Order: sequence, then C-alpha cells, then structure tokens
Amino acid sequence: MKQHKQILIIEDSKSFAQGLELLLMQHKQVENVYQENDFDGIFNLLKEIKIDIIILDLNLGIKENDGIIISKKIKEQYPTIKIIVLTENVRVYLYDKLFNECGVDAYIDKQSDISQTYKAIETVIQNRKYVDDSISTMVEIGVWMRISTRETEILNLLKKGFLQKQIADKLFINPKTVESHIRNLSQRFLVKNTTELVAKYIKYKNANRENMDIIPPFKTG
Amino acid sequence: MFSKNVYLVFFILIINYGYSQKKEKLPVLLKKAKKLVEKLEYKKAITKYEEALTIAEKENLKQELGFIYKKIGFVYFKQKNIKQASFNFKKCIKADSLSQNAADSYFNLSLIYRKLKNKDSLLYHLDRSIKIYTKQENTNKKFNTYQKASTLYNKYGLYEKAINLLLSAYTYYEKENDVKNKASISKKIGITQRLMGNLEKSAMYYKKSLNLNMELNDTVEIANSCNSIANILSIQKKQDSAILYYQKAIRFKEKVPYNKELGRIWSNLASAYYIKGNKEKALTTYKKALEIKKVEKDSMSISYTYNELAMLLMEKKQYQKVKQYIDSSLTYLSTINNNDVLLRNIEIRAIYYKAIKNYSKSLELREQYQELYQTLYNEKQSKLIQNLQEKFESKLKQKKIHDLSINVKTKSKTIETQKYSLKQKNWFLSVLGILILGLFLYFKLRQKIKAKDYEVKRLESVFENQEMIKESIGRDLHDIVSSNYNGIRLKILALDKNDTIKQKSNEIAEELKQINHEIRLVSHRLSPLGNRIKETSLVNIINSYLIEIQYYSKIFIDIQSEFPKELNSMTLKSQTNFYGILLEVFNNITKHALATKIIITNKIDEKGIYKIDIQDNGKGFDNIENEGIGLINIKQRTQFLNGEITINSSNKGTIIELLIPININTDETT
Repeated sequence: MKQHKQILIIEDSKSFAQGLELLLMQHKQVENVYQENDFDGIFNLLKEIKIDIIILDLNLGIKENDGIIISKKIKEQYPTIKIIVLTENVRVYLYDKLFNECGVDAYIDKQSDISQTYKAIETVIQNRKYVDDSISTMVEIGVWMRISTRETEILNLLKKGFLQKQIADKLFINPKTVESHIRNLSQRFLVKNTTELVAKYIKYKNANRENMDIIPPFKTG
Repeated sequence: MFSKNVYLVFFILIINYGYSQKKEKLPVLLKKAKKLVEKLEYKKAITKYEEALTIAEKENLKQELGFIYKKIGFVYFKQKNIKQASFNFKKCIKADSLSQNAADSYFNLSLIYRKLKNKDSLLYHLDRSIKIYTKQENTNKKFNTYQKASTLYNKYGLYEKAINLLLSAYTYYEKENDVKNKASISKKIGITQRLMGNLEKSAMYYKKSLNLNMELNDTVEIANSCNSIANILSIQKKQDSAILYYQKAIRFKEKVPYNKELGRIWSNLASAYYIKGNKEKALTTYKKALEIKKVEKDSMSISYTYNELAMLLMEKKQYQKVKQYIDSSLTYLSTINNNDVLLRNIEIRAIYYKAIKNYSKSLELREQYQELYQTLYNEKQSKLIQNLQEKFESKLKQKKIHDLSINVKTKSKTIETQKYSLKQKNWFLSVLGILILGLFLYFKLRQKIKAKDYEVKRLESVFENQEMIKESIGRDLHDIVSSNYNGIRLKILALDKNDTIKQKSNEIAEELKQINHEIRLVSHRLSPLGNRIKETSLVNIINSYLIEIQYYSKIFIDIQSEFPKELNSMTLKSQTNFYGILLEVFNNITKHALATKIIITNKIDEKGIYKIDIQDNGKGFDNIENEGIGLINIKQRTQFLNGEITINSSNKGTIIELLIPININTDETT
C-alpha cells in the first residue's frame, strides 16, 4: 500500500481548510493535500488526480448537507476513495445515515482535537471505519436509552450484586432467559463479560460523570 | 312631411281594423252557431261555440264566456245530454256569476233537477235564478222566466212566491202595454189563487184575463177563461152565472177547429143544469156532450158522461137505458184508469141494483164502493198530509237557511274583527322583530370589533415578546463575543512572552471550542429545528438532542416511554414550537438547575391530548415572577400550540407538565 496518500479537503471555510492542511501535512502518511469547495471543482479534480482520502464537511454553500449528496455521488463514481466526514453537525441521527446510507468511512466532530482526524486517517487506510469518541459515546448512550424494561430490571439487579439464578427467581423467569438477555446486552455494548457490562451501565446511569460527588455544571463541552 | 302623416294614419287604421276584426270574429261565430242550432245541427253548433269559447277565454271576456257556456248547455239540453248540459250551465255561472246568463243557467239547472226529481236542488236553483233576475233590468225575457218559475212554484205549493213573481211581471207588462202577456199573467194568477182556495180572487183574475183576451180577440183564450170562470161559479153554487159562462165558452170554443175541451165544457154545462135542477136540460146537454166526446175520443170524459146520464135516467126509472149507460161507461172505463169516475160508476150501479130490487148485488157494490172510497180517501188524505208536511218542511228549511245565513254573517264579522286585530298584532310583532334584529346585529358588530381589538392586542404582545427575545439574544451574543474573544485576543498577544506555547495554545483551542459551542446554542435557540427537520423526523431529533444533553451536560436522562410517532405528523410550525419548548426547558435545567437526573414521561391519551412531564432533581427556581426570556418563550410557544403548561418548582426539583392537542396541530397534508 502506498504510504503517501493524496487527500482532498472539501470545506467552504478557507481559513479552516488552510489550517487543517497545515496540520495534515505534519502527518507522516500524508503526501499532498488538495482543496475544493464546489461540485464541479470536486469532480474535475477527481478525474485528474487519484485521491485516496476525502475530508468532507457536511454544510457546504447555501444548501444544507449537500455534503451528503456529494458523498453519495463520490461513492458511486469512486468507491475506493475513503470519505472522512468532519463536521460541526454531530448528531446521533446522522450516524446511521452517513454510515449506512452514504457509506462513509469516518465521522468526526470538527470541534475535536486533531488527533481524532489523525486516528481516522490511519483507520480508514486499513479499510476500517472510525467514529469520533464523542460520537461513539453518544451513540452508546442512545443504545442504552433503548434497552427494554426487562433488560433494565436485570441490569439493576446485577448492579446490586444478585446472581443470575437469584435474578431469575425474583423476576419469575427462567434462568436461561436471564442468561440470554445478558448475552444480548454484552454483544450490543461490546463488552467481554458481565462485570464490564455492569460497569458500563453504571457509567451510563451517572451520565459519564467520573466523580459522582461533583455536581454539575462543570465545564460543559 | 305630408306623406309621413298619411302613412301614420294608414298605420293606425290598419291596426284598428285588425283589432276590430278580431272582435268581430266572435259575434260572427255566435250568429253562425245560432243558425246551426235552429237547423238542429247540434254537433256543428257546439263546435262553433267552442271556437268562440277559446277566443273569449283568450281575451278574458267574462260576459261572452258566460253567454257561450249557457248556449252550449242549452244545446246539450236539447240533445238530452243532461250531464254535459248541467256542466256547461255551471261553467256559465262560474264565469259570470251575477249576470243574466247565470240567472238563465240557474233556471235551466232547476229544470234539469225537475227531470232528476230532485226537489230541493230544483227550488234552490230556482230561487238563485230569481234572485239574480230581480237585480237585472226589466226585460221580456226576465218576466217570461218569471212566468215559468211561477208555474214551478205552484207545483210545489209555494203560492206566495208564484204570486209575487206574477204581480211584478204584470206591473212590467202594464208599463209595456203588452196585453197578451197581461192576459196570460192574469190567468196564471187566477190559477194560483184557485189553488190557494181564494175563489173570489181567482174569479176576479180570470175575469180580468177574459177582458184582456176579448181585447185581443183570442178566441181560444176567451173560451178557456169563460170555462174557468164558470167552474168557479159552479163551485160557488152560482149555477145560473155558471151556465151563462159555460154557454159563452161553448160559443167561442165552437169557433176553434179542433179542441178536446169542448166536450168537457158541454158536460160541465150539463152538470150545472143538473145541479140547478133542470134535469131535462141536463139530459139533453149530456147527450150532446157525449156526441162531441165520442168525436174527441175522450174516454174518461165519455165514461163520466155515461155515468151522469145513467144517474139522470135512474130518476126517470128508465132502468133499461140506465143499464145500457152503465155498461157503456164500464166499457170506456176499462180503457182508462180513473178512480173517481169508477167510484161514481160503482155508486150508480149500487143505486141501480137497489132500484131493480137486486139487494145482494146492490150491497156488494156498496161494499165495493166503501172500499174504493176508503182507499181513495186515504190516498187523498195521505197526499194532503204529504203536501202539508212538505209545506211545513220547506218553511222550516227556509227558516233554517235564514238562521244559518245570519250565523254566517255574524261569524264573518267576528273573523273580520279578528283579522284586523291580527293585522295589528302582526304589525307590532314585525316592528319588534326588526328592533330585536337590529339590537342583535349591533351586539354582533361590537363583538367583532372587540375580537379584532383583542387580536390586535395579542399580535402586539407577540411582537413585543419577539423584540424582547431578540434583544436578549443579542445581549447574549454580545456578552459571549465581547468577553471571550477579547480574552483570547489577549491570550494570543501574551503568547510570545510565554514559554509553554503548546500548553497555552491547547488552552486557547479549548476555550474557542467552548465559545463556539455557546454561540451554537444561542443560534440553536433562535431557530430550533432549522434545517435538521429535513434530515430526519422530529422524534429522532429529540432523541439525538437528549443524548447530546446527557453527553455534554452529564445529566442522566431517563426516558420512561418512547416519544410517540404522532409528533412527526404535526405541522412544521407546531413541531418547531414543541422542540423550541424542549430546548428552553433543557436550557434552564442545564444552566441553572444543577440537576443530576431528568425523568421524562410522555404519552397521548384517548382524546388525542399529548402529555409530557419533565422532572429534574435540581434546586428549582424560586419565583416565577422573575420571568426570564426562556419562560416567556415557553409560554408563547405553548400558546401557539393551543396547549397548557404547568410548572411546579421546589428546592427538591422542578416538574414541568405540558399538554398539547395533537389533532389541532396536525396538518392533513404532511
């Protein structure tokens, strides 16, 4: 695999694009950085130069999210090009759309540290998807919000230290059912065992506050 | 100019001619029709009349219409088509009800009812006919009808009515110097008086009639008058005068070629002689009468005469001849049906048999006589009683009619007065109604004006609120920018004086991030949904937002029930307002409440009311009087949603309850 990647920045803020270019050039795997911000410019360039990675802003020009339209078009014509979405528009509901509908490879918050962008580049080169930490946390919160009542009951009892069999008795269900619920949750939250699951759950319930005694507001951001 | 006038004159003449032509058509038709009737061509006559009818109907000539209908009725009457005749007569009455034509029609209808033997209708129509006639001007026709009517009245015993008519007719004919009619009327009055039993008066009128007939040299009528007078005299037992008159009657009657009555007059004379006592003369006169009657072939009279002859000869004891005469009488009697003559015959036979000493036969005949007499007597009695009863009934009916008409008159008067009072009432009510309507409209107008004022005031307050909000946001932005950016500006300026650039630059970057975020929040609150709604549904946006809150503000959000899909069906405006409220609420909680947990419950009830409760465990806010912009925003947006919001706050936390009617806020087109 070619080490030196050609990167195209699609961004309408010129100052931001210039700043980003400077930072990107500091990355060892980046060879060249190009800039375009309009439809025709983008596709003309793509015809000329073989781009490896596109860093795409979603809010270009007047029309909101024409970035989504462009991403779809690029993936149609140049399926091998990796698209990293770098945008202020960090929404959980866009997560699904971008990855599943548009087929992008990374989704990063513009507010995040440049390290996120570096990580994204490294990950997508390896043909993997990358999600900004904040986004992934938010997505996880979303998943937590959608667990069923039964699952909540089980987790609460686990949190209190009850064993699976005891939980089954308390809830008047089959221990096998309890086991299957726990397995299901573990898969969903990518945890190795029940302990980790419970830890994650507790963290979720405390809104990821590290110090439970501190009462917000602290630095929100 | 001259030619123009000529043309004008011609034009007028032509129009007139054409117009008069039309009018002439009608009389022509009627004349033709009359001729056809005289020729007995009834069907053609009716056709012509019907043509005339259409013209009269078109031009609405009432009088002509009545006349034509009457004429048609008359033709049908001649054809014996009673149904059609009466129909047309009735039409005539309907068309021109108070005219002479109507009077004639009434009269003709009474004749029809005579045929149908309907006495009451007959008299009714006759009365009506006379009633109209009395108001008409005096014509021959009128009094001619009077005469006919009097005959009808006589028949039903309404003698007074008959006499009244005849007297008024007489007065007219006197004026007109119409001797013939005077004579005829006198005779008729005589008949009536006789029927009433007023013999003297009757005789008087007959004599009058005689005198008038003498003036006219009317042989037949003279003879009749003499006969009538003689009859009365005979009843009055003035036989001598009676004989004289009979003789006179005979003299005149003989001059007339064929007259059935001559024989009767002879026998009258004969009986007068007999009553007087001159039996010989009576005998010869009877024989003479018999002669003449045989020529006249008057069977009844013949048998009658034979009876009397037999009686006469009985006294002379010429029994053979008597028998002869009795038998002859019987022979003639068998051809006719006259009980009086038969009775006489039986009587005479009884006497005869007694005379020839055949007592059993005589007795038998006597019994026969009694029987027949009884029956005849009973018949006569019952007839008499019937007559009297009819008279009484008719008088009673008349009284009833009179009473009813009075009743009707009084009733119509009450109706009149009631109508009048009703009219007054109506007038009053309508005026009242208009007043009430006026008041009602006035109040409605006032209401409208009030509503408009209210609307204007409301819009003004909305506008004021908007201004306040804009002002506040402006202030917020100003604060953020001025304070923070200046700080950063200074920090950057201070950079070259410091060693740890990396650390400082990180700090600055961090601060800028923070500022960005805050600005975005402000702009977010300005336009809550913005373009996001195009990317996905409201429910997804809300869920995303709550996740962001949890992530950024580190407050645990417990969504106890999913947000209902119906929220997505609301109008864009309503969705914006609802989301705006959520933003304000969460803004309050994250900025001021110092909460660690938010519990959200929401559902839609059966009536379509959406209820959401947002409860936090923060410190609450002390007084709601200190309304910040957020609260104003919340209240306004709630109003736009036609919803209700309740805020309960204590130091243990705050609960905000929002009620929204989903259906009102749903747009059918989305």
